[in-house]
Order: sequence, then structure tokens, then C-alpha cells
Amino acid sequence: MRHLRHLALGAPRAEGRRSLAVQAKRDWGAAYVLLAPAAGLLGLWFIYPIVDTVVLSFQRVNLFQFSQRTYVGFSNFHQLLDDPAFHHSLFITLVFVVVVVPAQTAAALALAAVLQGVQVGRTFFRTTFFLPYMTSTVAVTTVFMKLFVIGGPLAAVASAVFGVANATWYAQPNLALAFLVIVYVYMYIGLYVVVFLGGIENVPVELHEAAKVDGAGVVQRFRFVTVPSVRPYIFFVVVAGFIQAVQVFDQAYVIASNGAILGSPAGATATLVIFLYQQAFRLNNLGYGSAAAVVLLLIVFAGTVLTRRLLPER
Amino acid sequence: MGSLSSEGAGPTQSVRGTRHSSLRRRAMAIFSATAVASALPVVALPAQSAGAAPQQAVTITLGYAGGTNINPYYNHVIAAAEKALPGIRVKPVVYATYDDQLNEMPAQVAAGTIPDIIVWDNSAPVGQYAKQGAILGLNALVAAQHVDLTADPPALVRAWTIDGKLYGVPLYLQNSAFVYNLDMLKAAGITKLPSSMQQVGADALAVYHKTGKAGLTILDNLFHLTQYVLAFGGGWGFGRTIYSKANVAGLQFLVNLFQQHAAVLPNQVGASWDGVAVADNQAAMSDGGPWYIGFMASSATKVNYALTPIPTSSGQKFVVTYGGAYSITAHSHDPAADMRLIKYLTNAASEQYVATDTSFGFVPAMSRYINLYRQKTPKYANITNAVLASGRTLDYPPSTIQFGNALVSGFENIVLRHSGTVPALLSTLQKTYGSR
Repeated sequence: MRHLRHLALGAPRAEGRRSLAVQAKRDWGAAYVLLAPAAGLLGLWFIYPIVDTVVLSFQRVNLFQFSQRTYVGFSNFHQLLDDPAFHHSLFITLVFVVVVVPAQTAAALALAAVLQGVQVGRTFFRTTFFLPYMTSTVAVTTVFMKLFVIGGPLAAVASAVFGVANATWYAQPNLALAFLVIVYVYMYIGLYVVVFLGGIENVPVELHEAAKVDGAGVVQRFRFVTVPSVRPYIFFVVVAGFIQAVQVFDQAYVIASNGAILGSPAGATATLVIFLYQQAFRLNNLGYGSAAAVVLLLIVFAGTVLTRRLLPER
Repeated sequence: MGSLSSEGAGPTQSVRGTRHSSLRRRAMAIFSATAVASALPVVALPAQSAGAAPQQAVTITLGYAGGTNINPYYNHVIAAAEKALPGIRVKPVVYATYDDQLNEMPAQVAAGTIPDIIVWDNSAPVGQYAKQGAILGLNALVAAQHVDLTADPPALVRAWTIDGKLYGVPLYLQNSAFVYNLDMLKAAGITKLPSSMQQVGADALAVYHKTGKAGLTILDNLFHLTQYVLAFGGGWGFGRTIYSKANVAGLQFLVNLFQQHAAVLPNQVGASWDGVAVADNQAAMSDGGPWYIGFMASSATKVNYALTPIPTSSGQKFVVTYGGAYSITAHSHDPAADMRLIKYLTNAASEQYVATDTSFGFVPAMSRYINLYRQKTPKYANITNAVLASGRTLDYPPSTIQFGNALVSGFENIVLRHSGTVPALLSTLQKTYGSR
């Protein structure tokens, strides 16, 4: 009976499995169809340029005769190793990243913690902090150039408070990179404040209350409750901040407008992307610039892996 | 249970089936809509072309470096050209500055987005573009459209001719000059304009010591540095004479003034270019050109200034004479139509407008309108003879952009970082960019 019953039920079960398999195949088919446009665009705008950049890095290319490319092996990379301008751009980028990433992460976390405590007008402050990120880089940089010009309001304040020479910051080799850092952090800090606010709002109130009962002050609660709780957000901000900072370009480009050469003054703002852009599009060394872009890609990859190792997400 | 399970699967599967069917329908709908939307332009294109063909309409892109003084001129002549040439529409491609134009054009050539016609501000980069086949030789087109080049000074036409091939139809004559802010010089007790470059240096120091302001400003690019090299009897000689005594003297003259705080870069005083520094009373002297006339008239009406040929170390004076011209790029779809447009843009009416629109700041290329410009622009009158009689040329090395970048970078290192020397810089540049 059991045997018969099994036989009786077996056929429909097998049929059901077949039907599910067909169903699953259809679902996959629909998924591929729906994903195809996005995947195609991703391939066209992201994958293809990366692959082409890698290919270009092994070639000598003249922009005037773009279709005529010469394979040169690792020659462009060997040249990079011997190029003082490339070494200089690596150094400038390293200094920039080392200053910017910790500064913007710490400042954004502190600001977010303060904003979390604000009961009235939090949305206003959140929007205000986010505004520079949404504003045109050219506009923000140009305004800062007016503020940090010789005799300008912030140049004068910096001179009075810190004893820095009252000079046009973006025109002085010893101040131009600091100027770049200030403009950059000002622009991006709002984005990270919003990220941290999202994290801080998710910290259970009970944790803060328990810490308060245990006698923890504001600073202690921030250090022992807030910071550990938003660790995944810190990881995200450090990684995203690193990836963005290592690619800094726009602000340095604006500084060098009005006929000055890129990286002005005297190479003080010659970041890695400025270097590769200048090589590829101004000096007509597209293959060489692509080799520098590949190095940049490797740096971003290595930096992300390193950050993950040093700062576990959880 | 098995039965129940089996029965239970029915409705679930039915619901899934319905959902799947619905999903499939939606997917098909989206797919179909996308396909239709994608196909529409393809379907529509032949219809448009078919409709446009009988009218022979052609849109020509015209690239030029714009500016507050320059844009009105082009707006005027483009509007006039479109009215006079039925079927031709002009789409301006305005570069922020001439440097931006030179920087962007190589990438535009590679991308195939370079305008059909471009306006050069001088002939320095033309050799590179001609050699690479990025611009067209114009002899046949000029002959076919009967463009009269005999109306222009022969030297100006020669400036656009390489190995017998014409690559540019002259639009305007241009020259360098020296600019003095008379108010600042007067404040420093200087009442007589310097007669030599050494006197310029002495006056610049006097201005700095007596007023605390810069005596001289220079925009750090190849063109402006070249003026001082020429003032000391040097020149680049198309790459043959980069490292020469005279060139070293010219750049060293500037370096010395920077070291004594008598000279500044415009951006050091918050100015975007030398004209702004002079107009804002931040610097007493600068090399410049007729473009100061329009700028000062609109931006610094209360500032007294003078424009003269550039003093030299030997006491004589000179200007660099060059000019702007139209070229047709190899990317152009309809060179014949382009030349029709160029013919109009360089005809007598357009050239007369160059002469009368003094804010444009350029001198007409046509000989017969140069005197008209002189009458309309008294400030220009005292440099006219030098322009026509003893104009010097720029003679940049062949890899002009690369050479310019390296020169400016080295110069900035010397004056801003006190790193390197002028002889070492020019010696290196001679080895890298020099030609025999």
C-alpha cells in the first residue's frame, strides 16, 4: 500500500520538480533580460575603459593618430620608475591622502556626534553640511581662492592666528597643498557627516543609558559606545575617503586655471591624477598617462585591501 | 500528507505561474518599449536626412577662445554670416581661454569632436597640427572660393604657409607690447617711461621700494616669457637657440626681479592675468598687447596707462607680430562649405568690423583697415609702425606645448622654490627639445 502510495505520489512530485526547474530557468532568463541593459552600460562605461586603459599602458599612442598604436611592452612603466615628476606626484598624493583621510574622518565623526545631540534644527544643519558636496567644485574652489588671496579674510585670519605669511595660498608652493586640503575637506566632510549620522542614529539608546548609569561622561560615551558601534561606517568612510582622495583632481585643476600649467605653483599641487591627465591630454603621451592610471588603479586596490586588514569592518 | 503536499503545490504553483506570467509580460513590455525607443532614432534619422537633403543645410562648428571682449565680435559676425549664407548654420564652440583651446584640441582630434573650423591666435602650434594631418591645406579651397589673400600683408599670409601650403586664412593682426600703469609709476616718482629693459628693472625696483607694490608682473607662460628673451636679443630659433647667452640673460633678468620682490606672478596678487594686476594697481608694468585697450576701457576706466613697443637691452624697441587665422580641421564634413563661411568671416565687412569694434582688441588683417583701426584706437597708434616695420616672430621649438610646459615649470621652480638655475634649465631644454 505504502509502495503503491509512493508510486502514486512519485509521478506528480517528479513532474513538480521538472516544472520548478523549468520555472527556475525562466526566472533566470527574465533576470538576464532585465539585467542586460545595466550590465551592458556597466561594461561600456566602466569595464571597457579599464581594459582599454590597461591595453593603452603597453602602447605608444599619438592623440593625433589615435588608431595607430605601437606596442612597447613595459617601457611606459619602466619610464615611470625613472621619472622624477611621477615620483613627485606620488609624494604629493601620499601627503594629501595621509592628511585628508584621517582629518575628514575624525572631523565628520565628531560633527555627526555633535549633530546627533542637537534637538532643534538638526535637518537644517545636516543640509548645511551636505551643501558643499553638492555644489560645483569650480564654484567652491573659486570662492576659497578669493578667501585665501593675499589680504583676503581667511588668509588674514590664518596669518594672525597661526603666524602664516599673509600671502595668496594657492600661489605659494609651501601653502598651495594646504589650500587644496582645506578646500577638499570642506567639500567632502558633509557627505561623511551624513553617513556617520545614519550610523549613530542606529546605536541603541539603551547602550548610552547603561553607560550613563555606569557614570560615563559625554566623551567616554562617545569613545566607548558611539565609536565601536559605528565601526562599519568608519571603515566605509576611510575606504571611500581614501579612494576619492587619491584621485583628487578638480580642485587642483581649478587652481591651475588662467593659463598656469597644471600642478602650479611649481608642482605643489601636482597630484597623481594631475600628472596622468597632463601626460595623456596635454603632452600627448596617452600610453604613458595610461600607465600612470594603471599604477593609480593598483594603489587604490592595494589601499583598500590594506585598510580592510588594518581596520576590520566588524 | 503527500497528497496534501501535492495538492498544496497546485495553488502555489498557480500563483507563481500567474506571477511569472505577469513578470514575463512586464519584462516583455519593458523590453519592447526599450527596443521601440532605441529603434525610433534609427527610423527617424533617414526621414530627417531625407527632409534636410533638398535644403543642403549644413551646420558648421566654429571653435575659438572666447572672452568678455571677444564673444560680442563673434556673435555679431556669425549672425551676419548665417544671414548672408542661406543653408549654413554656425555652432560656436567657445573655449574659456586660448590655453584651454590648445589643451583641449588634441583630445578632440582623437575623439573626433574637434570643430570643423578653428581660430588660431597665433601660428605657433600650426606646424604640429599640419604635420600630423589634423588640419587641411587650404590652397585649393581658397582658389575654388576665390578668397582674396592679396588684401592682407604678404608677411601675414606667409606666417600661415608651411612648405608652400596655406593652413590658415588671416583674420587679424596681433602683436605684443609693453604696458605701464602711469599712476603707479607716478606714485613711485617715475615720470619718464623706461627706454631700455635695464631701466624697466630699475623702475620696477623703485616702484617696489617706494610703494610696496610690484614693479612688474608676468603671466608665467611661454608667450610672455618669450617677450623677455627677445628683449635681450635672444629667441628660440625653432629649437636651435634655446640655450643661448641672450636667452639666459632674459630669464635671469626676471629671476632677479622676483628675488628682489619687484616682480610677481599675477596670481600671487590674486589676479587671474597680468591685465587684472595692472588694472587693480597691483603691478606697475607688464608685457601685454592691444588686448589691453579693450580691457582697460571696460574694466579700469580711471587707471592711466600707456602702451608702447617693448624696450630691449640695447635701447631699441620691438614687438612680436603675429596674427589670428581660420583653419579647417581634417575632421570637417564639408570643407567647401567651411571655406564659404571663412570667406565671409574674413571679407571686407567683417574686417571693417574688426577695426571698428575696438573692444575686440585686435587689428584687422586687411591692410586697408589697419589705418582705420589706428584712427579709432589712438592708444594703438604709437605701436603701429613697430608692428608693421620691425615685428619679430615667436619661433617656438617644434614640440611647442611640451617645451612650454617644461620651461614654465622650471621657471616656477627657480622663482618660487629657489630651486635650479636659468642656465641649467635652458641647457636641459636644449637637450630635450632643441633641434639642429
